[in-house]
Amino acid sequence: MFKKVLIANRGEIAVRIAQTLQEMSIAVVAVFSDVDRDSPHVSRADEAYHLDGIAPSETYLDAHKIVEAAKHHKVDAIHPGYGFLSENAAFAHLCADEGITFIGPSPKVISAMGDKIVAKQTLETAGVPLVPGWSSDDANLSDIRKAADRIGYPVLLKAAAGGGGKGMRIVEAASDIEGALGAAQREANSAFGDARVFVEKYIARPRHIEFQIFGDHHGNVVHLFERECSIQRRYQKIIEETPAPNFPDSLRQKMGESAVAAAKAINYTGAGTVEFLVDEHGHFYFLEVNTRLQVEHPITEAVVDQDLVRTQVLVAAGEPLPFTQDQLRQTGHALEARIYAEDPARGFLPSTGLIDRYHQPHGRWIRVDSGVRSGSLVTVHYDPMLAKLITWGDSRDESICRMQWALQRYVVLGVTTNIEFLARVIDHPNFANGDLHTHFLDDNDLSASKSGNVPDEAFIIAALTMKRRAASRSRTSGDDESRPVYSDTPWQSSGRWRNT
Amino acid sequence: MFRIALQTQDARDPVEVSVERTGAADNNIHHAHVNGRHAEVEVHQLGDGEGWLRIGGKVLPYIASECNDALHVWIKGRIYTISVVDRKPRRATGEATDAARSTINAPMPGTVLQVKVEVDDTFEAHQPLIVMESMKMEMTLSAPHAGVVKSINCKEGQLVEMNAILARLDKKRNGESLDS
Repeated sequence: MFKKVLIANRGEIAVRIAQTLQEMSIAVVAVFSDVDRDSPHVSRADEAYHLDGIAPSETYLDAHKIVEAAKHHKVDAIHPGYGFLSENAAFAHLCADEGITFIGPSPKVISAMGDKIVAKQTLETAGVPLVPGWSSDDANLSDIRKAADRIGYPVLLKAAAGGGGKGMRIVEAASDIEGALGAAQREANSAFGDARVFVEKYIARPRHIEFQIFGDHHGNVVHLFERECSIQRRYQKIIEETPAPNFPDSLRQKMGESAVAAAKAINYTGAGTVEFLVDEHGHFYFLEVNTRLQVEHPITEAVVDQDLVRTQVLVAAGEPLPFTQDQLRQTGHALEARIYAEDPARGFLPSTGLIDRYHQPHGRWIRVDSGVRSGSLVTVHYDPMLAKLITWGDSRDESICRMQWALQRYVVLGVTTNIEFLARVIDHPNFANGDLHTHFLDDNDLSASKSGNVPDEAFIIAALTMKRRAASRSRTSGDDESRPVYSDTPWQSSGRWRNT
Repeated sequence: MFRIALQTQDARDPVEVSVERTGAADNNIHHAHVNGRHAEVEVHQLGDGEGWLRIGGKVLPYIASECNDALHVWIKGRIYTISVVDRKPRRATGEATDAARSTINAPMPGTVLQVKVEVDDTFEAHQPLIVMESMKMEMTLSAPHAGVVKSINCKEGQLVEMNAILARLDKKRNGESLDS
């Protein structure tokens, strides 16, 4: 087993990985940029080394600097976390060349799955369903019409060179296709200088459902069930859960088999995620493979009662998977809400500054993976996600109630967060009903209640605070009252569950 | 008796608040008045800005913190922003009045992409002056009125915090005030 592992990341994920490594008696090496010197991910490590600079490109994304540090401090393996270098095949190669184990799949798999076209072709060969579509370099109206008839309406016309919705048209019926094609081609031509358009099945209210997969170096591949990740804002997931609500067992089994077939087709090793779109009729279509640990992995850990980081380390060290498919069961239900430093009242603009007060909720069925504490500075340089709040319950209703309780007791003052917005999503009747799809946040009214009335209590507290301040200013001696009751020490905050 | 005038974030009418401890010094019951409404409040302070209130049997944990010139009061899942009404009379400075001046402030933390004007340039109302980027979102900051650029307080490529002053503007042109 490894003696020393470097975590090439920061924030909550670096803190979370460090804990598992230390539990496995592996020494943790952290790296940090100029502005992260005081960060929790540094103080929780056994050793920490400075990466000169601030920008990700000169710090957490600088493969050479990180491998140099790893060599110099005699590290056996590197855990890349998610983001940064986690899906960088060249980095994985560099590690291998220097005799350092990269905790993740092979460089070959990373680069194949990183190329969306290669990934789709590979998975189609393995029998994984793709969104039905048709393209050709010199498609004319009658070709497109034939393809649309075959796929079935509604269809989506998309610019081949596309992006940002330009050159995109939803076509409801065959009679509309001629006009829509002309418009899409003109728009594509003026936006990209390329009039090529292809046709794809339009999925009206898709759900984003992904499967956690795991492979080892002994030919074993399993899936650890699904995660429902439909609550997204601009393709950014904010709430995830497992098991997916209103999701029949037969579909779970079919999609799980499909995910395992995909993983086997590419000799997948380590942790990965196969993402699918699911339409209203229960048809599912492959989206992409993420060749790393996902942000939302804790909900899977909660319902299958496994530590996925530990499993990653075991697999990277050459050991077989510690479980078989038959041994894996979903127990209860878990939810995750992502705490972002952003202001929902101002179009979700990122907010920065000093976190003056930070108190996270505690409880036997509550887990918080956090990368900040009171006094942390939130800057524009890195991802605005501060922490993840995860709750577990026997049933979906129970984990929702726990999430409501926990969000109400999550305090971040000094930097605006999305905590109240998350509570409004969780409280929404359509969320309770499990009526989920990727347009959920656009289709439901989640604005703060119009009566932005401030209750009298708030004014009383403000007056008491000002009174106390005036009194302590007039006193020469300091404040003799004790410090807060809450605390954010690691021992209280990071308890994981044990399911009975 | 401690009296204070407070206001909410949208700075509507000031709210008059008074708090007074009743009876003995070790008593934590206060009489509170908010715009004339009275409440008897049991105050439990646990530390700097933290504690709980008991009002008519209702228990309300709170945490208050002062930052960015306002008090942020968290009560059970909601945050309220409250500031103290400043009653000091404004001192005359002899400089141009506020009405003749304005600033362009960063609406979000981010990077200055482009500064489209220079000092002493004149501009029309709504003319784009500065382009910013934050989290891959681009935003054009336009002139709130016609006028003259007094100073530029940022550089292209510079990282700026929210509300940073990027430029100062004068509402006059050709030496004459547009307000007069």
